Amino acid sequence: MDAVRPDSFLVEVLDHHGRAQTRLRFPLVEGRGEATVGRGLAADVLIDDAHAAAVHVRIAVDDTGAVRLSDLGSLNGLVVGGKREHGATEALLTGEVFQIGRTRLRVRTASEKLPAEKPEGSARLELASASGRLALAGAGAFLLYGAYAAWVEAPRDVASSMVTHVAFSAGAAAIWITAWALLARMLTGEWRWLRQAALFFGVMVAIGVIENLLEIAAFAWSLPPWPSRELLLGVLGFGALLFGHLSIASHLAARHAVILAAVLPLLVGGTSLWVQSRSDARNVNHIGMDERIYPGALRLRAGKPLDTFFANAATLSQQAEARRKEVPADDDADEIDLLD
Amino acid sequence: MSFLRCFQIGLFTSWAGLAGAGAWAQLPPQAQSQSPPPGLAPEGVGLVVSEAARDLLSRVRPAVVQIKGFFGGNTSQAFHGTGFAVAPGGLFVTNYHVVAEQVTYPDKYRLEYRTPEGATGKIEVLAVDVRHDLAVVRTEGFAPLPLRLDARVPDKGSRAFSIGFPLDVGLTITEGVSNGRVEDSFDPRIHYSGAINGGMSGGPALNARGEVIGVNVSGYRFQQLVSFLVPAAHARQLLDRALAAPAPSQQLKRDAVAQLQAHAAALVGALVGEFPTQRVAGYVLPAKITPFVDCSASGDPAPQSPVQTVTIKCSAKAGLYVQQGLYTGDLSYAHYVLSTDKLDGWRFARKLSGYSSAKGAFGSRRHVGPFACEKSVVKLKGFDASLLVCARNYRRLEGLSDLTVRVISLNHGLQGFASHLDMYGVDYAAGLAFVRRFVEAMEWTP
Repeated sequence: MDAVRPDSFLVEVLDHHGRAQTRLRFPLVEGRGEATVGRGLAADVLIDDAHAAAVHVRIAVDDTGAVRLSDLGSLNGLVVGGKREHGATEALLTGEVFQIGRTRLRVRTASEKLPAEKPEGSARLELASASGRLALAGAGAFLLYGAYAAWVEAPRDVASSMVTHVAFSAGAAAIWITAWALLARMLTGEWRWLRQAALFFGVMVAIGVIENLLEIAAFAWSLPPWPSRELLLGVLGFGALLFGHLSIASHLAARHAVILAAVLPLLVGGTSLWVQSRSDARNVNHIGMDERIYPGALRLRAGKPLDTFFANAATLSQQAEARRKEVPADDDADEIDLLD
Repeated sequence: MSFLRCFQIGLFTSWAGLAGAGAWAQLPPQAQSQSPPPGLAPEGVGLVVSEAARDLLSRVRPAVVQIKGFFGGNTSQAFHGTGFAVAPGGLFVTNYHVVAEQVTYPDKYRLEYRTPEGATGKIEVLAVDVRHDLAVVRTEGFAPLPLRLDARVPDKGSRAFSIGFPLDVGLTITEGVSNGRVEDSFDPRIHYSGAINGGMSGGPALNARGEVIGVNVSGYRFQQLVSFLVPAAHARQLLDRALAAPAPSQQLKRDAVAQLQAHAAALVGALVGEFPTQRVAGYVLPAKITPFVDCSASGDPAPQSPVQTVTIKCSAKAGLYVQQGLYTGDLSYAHYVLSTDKLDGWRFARKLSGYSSAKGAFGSRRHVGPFACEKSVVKLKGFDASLLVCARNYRRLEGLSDLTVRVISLNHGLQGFASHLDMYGVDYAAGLAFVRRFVEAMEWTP
């Protein structure tokens, strides 16, 4: 509690990363004090922000340490606690940061809580922490899955195939995690390796498990084909990863991260699904009914009688006819009809 | 099997890059741009000329013309074949596949003849027989003495000669032996042990007396001197039809479609009766289901892979060439029977999954629409299997469909099979009835 003298308070103008660009100290008389912020000379704290009024806001600290903001008749108002307020008089500042125009400011009083001093060398990875344990377990499961993927194909040389698979998976994971750690370092000043790794491995393993369980379930109950299953899972996984990584690596507001994590995968996934389904629908050679078989012992539903199948199949010709009409031949316009 | 059909198509469109042997191929109308220069003509093209051949050629020569097709107003040919006079008034016989493009696209292609002396003139198609790959045409301003047709199939071992314009290197005669009717062929053919090369299509094959015994039609590419003739009797029938009622060009197309439909119906109609089956690794599967279906079975006598695979491939080789990229009226199927004593059920199932991809034959959007599919797990005799049936319809050949079927056994942990059946250009209901009998013939007998 001795970072700020109780007879003064600080107003900091923050940069995009939340670090103080300028810092001004104002006196407290009997625990009270005031400062104004704006673009004009009359303001105590000057900011270069075209979206701020000449004297935009008054910051008042009372003897209980509470900070109140008064809008001094600005056009754009204040953003306090994530909400924009116009013409606010006496808005209570919760937290420390508020925004006017495009500029964020922090008010620091004697009541602020400082985190404890970090010891030197604390940059080393704390594998025993929760995210450390999750990252380790996730990495183990992820690499095991890579080994399984090689083993299940029963290649001639299982060992080399497994090593290749595992090395490739590990390399790809390392690149991905490093990229996000680098972004975190740039945006927040911290690497956050373990949280990035825990997130990545956790999501990947979850997606892998869900995909395999769905596949086995489809086999066990003879479920109808669901061709966009993998893409859907991919979109979900990508969205989860994006949200997690953005939250860890940046100061992005949670709702912005959610929007980004929803919009981007949906956009990518939706576009590719649309392009793929359109090209499949127009490709007269497309069947796309590959099947993943599991041991017969896993089957839980008996086969249908042939009569049922062929009763359904009898209408295929009509379906094919409808599709034939839907998809014109490229040269229909100038083709000479064999039957004309 | 689908690849065979692709392969056949490939033979029509390209001389390069065709690996493998034993492909049954009709001789393409020789495409000009693809002709090798004369010095590079394949070895053995019409080089065996005996005394008899020389006499025969000089007698027959006036009655043989080269038939050329041109695209639009081009003066360079698009394809070419051979034709020979069969009746007074300039009536010639050639192969349907030599004139097919012109029959289908009369506004885009025109036909011309060229005599060995170099005289040229127009050609008009009078009648077609798609099933036997024959056409009767009339030449404008050229009416040589016709050759005589001998409708009898010559005995095995009779001397025979074939005449045509191979690879555009000029009039050529080849000498060989007739080996009589091809056994177990869906469409009647005479087996001629002599060279027939692209461009000789539609030319006459003669006996030693100079009578026409057949029409050059096809050969196994990459095999030595195994060639095929359409028996002269069919040329005789078509000629009679052309003389009785020559068809206007619109009628020709209708005739061709009707003949394709009739051929497809005949093919499916020939597949009735009990199927012969064979038992492999506990599974009873349809074998060589009719005499005209050719089957081959292969396996690995000393397997290194953890899974032993027996592959049985069958093909009716009954397809008709309609036009570039379009065959109809064919049937092929393949069984891949897998077993293992080295793998567990989990990994064996993964191996079997590798055979689950149903491709069907390559079709062009110009000719067919997209597939519609029905898939389900069904109960077969003694086991359950995943059954997939897909169908697509032809755009211009009403009533004809392609069917692609895939069956995968799901019963056993360490044995299993995948079967693929493809039917091209058949009536859907008749084809589906065949599919049902095909899968009903399958059985698990451990």
